[in-house]
Amino acid sequence: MSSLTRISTDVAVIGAGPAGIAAALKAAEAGASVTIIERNDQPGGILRQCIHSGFGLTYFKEELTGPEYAQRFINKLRASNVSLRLSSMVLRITPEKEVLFMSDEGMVSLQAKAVVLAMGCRERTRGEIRIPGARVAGVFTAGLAQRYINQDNQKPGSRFVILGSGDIGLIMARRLALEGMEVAGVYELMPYANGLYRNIKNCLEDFGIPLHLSTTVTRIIGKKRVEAVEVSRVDEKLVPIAGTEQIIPCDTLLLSIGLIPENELSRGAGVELNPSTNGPVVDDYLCSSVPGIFACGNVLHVHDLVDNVTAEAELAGSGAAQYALGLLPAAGRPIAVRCEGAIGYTVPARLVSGRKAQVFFRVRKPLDNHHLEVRSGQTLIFKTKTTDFKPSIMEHLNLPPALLAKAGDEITLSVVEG
Amino acid sequence: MEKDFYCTTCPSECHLFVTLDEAGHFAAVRGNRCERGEAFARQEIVCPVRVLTTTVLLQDGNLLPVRSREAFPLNLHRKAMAELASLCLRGPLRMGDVVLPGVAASGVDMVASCDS
Repeated sequence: MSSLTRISTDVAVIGAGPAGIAAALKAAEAGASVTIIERNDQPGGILRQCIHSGFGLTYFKEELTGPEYAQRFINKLRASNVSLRLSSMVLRITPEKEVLFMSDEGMVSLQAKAVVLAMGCRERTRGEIRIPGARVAGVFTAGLAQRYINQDNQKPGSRFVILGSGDIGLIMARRLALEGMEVAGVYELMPYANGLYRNIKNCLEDFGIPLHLSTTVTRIIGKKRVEAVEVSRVDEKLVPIAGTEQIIPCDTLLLSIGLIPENELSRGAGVELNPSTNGPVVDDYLCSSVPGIFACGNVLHVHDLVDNVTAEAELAGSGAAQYALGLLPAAGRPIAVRCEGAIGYTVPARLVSGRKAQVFFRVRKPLDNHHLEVRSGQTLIFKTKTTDFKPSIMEHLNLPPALLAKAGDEITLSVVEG
Repeated sequence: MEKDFYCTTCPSECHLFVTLDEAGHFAAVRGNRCERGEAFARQEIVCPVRVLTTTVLLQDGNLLPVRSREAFPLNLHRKAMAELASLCLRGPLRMGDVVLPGVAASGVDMVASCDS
């Protein structure tokens, strides 16, 4: 019978990607003992395979690559007294904040006073959108192909079709082209591109790779390996239009069709999830529905910029440390944050700290010349100036305490024309 | 004549509209929210430059992510990739170490993106 090693810590951080490392550093700075548990044999998370630049423009005021951004935080981590457990897989987190993980030394039970969830997200797969056709080799998510090329030195194929114009698909279009592979085109279901303009420009236009909007893959063709895909135009209801089918010869299909926060462990801990984000419902300390369990980064909601992940993680880390050390102030009058219309979700869902609030949100579709309104009941308490909103850009709203004092027990965000 | 493209200097992604004179030279720009946008537009008209990122092989069989220290002409990137493909470097290397000085005769060094 194998024995269980029992250890304890003030703050347990799940994941040593950008969110986990930033949360751990802030928690340690606040005086808590911190243990990070990471399944990989090196820290850095997804940044290790994001070899392109564009990171750190806000946080460092420099344009860094993913590995550079990660290395800066890893260097700080190594200089700190945070305990980093690599090659360790968390199997279960209980509402009492016991973290059970498997490591080289066997099973370990880590009793924490506070937990920070920072597990990131996974990619949506072919099965989840049910692309019909042959079940053949050569269908990968874009991030998997990125890992093959950038870490494993493996060539995933020779001639590619990319479905989805999100940033991962665009970045991979450029990577493939640079490494001498052919990209037939990027196909996007919606009538607008999903990724940053920066990536449309630097990844598609620079390489003459066509972007086909309002088009999707309707069938995969091949015997043992992809030989072609059938693409079709779609109408305004996103239904394929009969007669518009085209066969595109290729040997690999990359899917860049969405990211899903990885919350199996969160569910097991009894954490309430928001169905709009698939991430935990949190207050403005980034504490979930389970006291002492905090969340940050892509596991909470999918981000576009790692700089925002770091800022969010620092907030969660300091909240977790305060909770663990018994220093979290008593909750003030809670204000529920609601959204309506074109706003898909907000993080946080509830304001309890009484401090200046930063509310993050995304719109469901592109909206030009709109402004944001914040109402409490029937009263308009704040509105922004006219601007454009895109689903691919996470927006934020700052609400100072003076403004919150005008709110009742709930505020509602909406985007209004004009 | 007018050309339009998005500035990539910061996350604002300003939509730039550049007016060119008859000779095709930069005359004016609008749409930028700061002066960096004008500098970006001028450079983009004269000679588009980009940061190049890729991986190089290490002697231990692992890959090392590398980057150009700064942006250099896009039309030299294909040649740069060919030069980098022939490298096989001995570690250990630290983030910032030069792996190929002055790639593709651009005068810009390729450096390691992280510790190896």
